[in-house]
Amino acid sequence: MKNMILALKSLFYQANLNHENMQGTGFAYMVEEAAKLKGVELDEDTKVKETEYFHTHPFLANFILGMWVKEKKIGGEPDFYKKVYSSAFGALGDSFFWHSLRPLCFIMSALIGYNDPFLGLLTYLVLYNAFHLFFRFGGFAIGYELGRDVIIFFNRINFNRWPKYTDTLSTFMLGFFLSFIVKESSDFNPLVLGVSTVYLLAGLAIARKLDIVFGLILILIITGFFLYFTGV
Amino acid sequence: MNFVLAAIYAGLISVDRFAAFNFMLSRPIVIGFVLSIIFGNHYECFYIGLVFEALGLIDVPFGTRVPKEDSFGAFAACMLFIILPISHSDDFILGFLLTIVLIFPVTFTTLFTRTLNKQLLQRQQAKGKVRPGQLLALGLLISFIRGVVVYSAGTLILYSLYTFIHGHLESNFNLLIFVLMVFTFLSGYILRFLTVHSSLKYIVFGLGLLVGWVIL
Repeated sequence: MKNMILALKSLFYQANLNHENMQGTGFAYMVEEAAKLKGVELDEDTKVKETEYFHTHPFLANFILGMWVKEKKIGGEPDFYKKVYSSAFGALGDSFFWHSLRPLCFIMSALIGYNDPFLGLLTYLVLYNAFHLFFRFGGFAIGYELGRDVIIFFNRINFNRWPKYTDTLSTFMLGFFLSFIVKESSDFNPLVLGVSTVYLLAGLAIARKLDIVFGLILILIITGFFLYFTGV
Repeated sequence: MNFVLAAIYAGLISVDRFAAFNFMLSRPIVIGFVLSIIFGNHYECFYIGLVFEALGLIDVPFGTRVPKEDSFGAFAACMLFIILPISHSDDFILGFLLTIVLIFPVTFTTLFTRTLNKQLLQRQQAKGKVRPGQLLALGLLISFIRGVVVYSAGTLILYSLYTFIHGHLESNFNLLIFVLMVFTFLSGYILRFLTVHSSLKYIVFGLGLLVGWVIL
């Protein structure tokens, strides 16, 4: 139960995000709470030190927190491993949660929510937060149990491969979804299908050369003119 | 009442995006769904969410990078077309273009929020006593107020600019086809963004297209 309350508090730990110490204030707050929970005494110097720069993926911060308290308790090197794991978990979390899980949730929810916004909303929030909350709520206990070897957990579940699997599924679902909305919007219209194919290829061709915002502005204007002059 | 709900939701979007929760209440497609539940303009909100989501997916918040405010884009564009239903399809282009322009100053306000957080921290450091709990509570409040104020003001500016410019161009073409084509183009960006081995990627994507076409 106390772990649960700690995990709930961690939902707010980014609130003082700034360019001085990034998530350092939040980490200092969480460290105080977690140390209290595990009966670890913290002196004033340690509390002040923990407000220094800290930045990692927010969903994986509780793993570092658990590891930190464990290392502190056994007289290890909590701050050394905190530094090591913050960048490692930052990269791991960013590539799965920000890079890969969001596209999958988007496509699934758009597909399901096309006719029913409530179902779409539910799909996105449930699918995304199932992963989010699993790591957020389980992180502290796992971090505390494994201590400085917390990376073993991520190796055990092959976490670094998750983005690859998710992206493969997203690629398939993106194709599926495109077929779905083309069919819903225009059914079998050779002109629309042909032009859509050209648009997709154009997007692929310039995606690495032109920033998406400028790409969007360009295509808004071109499409407007195209539809205006063809009278579609 | 619905507009009050929307303003409160704007505050929650800002909090969810930068300060707390991270439940993804701030994703453009989710904003489209929520606003269509509140106001009932489902298809307009859905298509707006689709385009801004594609825009935001590519812009990943790696490290200390501040991503563009795709949430504001979806929120303001949905609200604009809820207040002023689309009478001509070029309304859509105008609304989109103005929203994209406004995304940049709104993104800048995020930096302002971070600066304010930094000053609050430094002030406590200077006094020799840092109270993390208090700083987090203040950060949460600042983020919420930023959402309500900036999103509402941004939507108001968008509305004013739009009504000022509106009326000079009046033509009527198929709106669904328009958004469909724009999203198809952006799908090329998403496809490039997904990290799957090149040839496998196109085989899987082609298979998805085929299965989608045959099954649905």
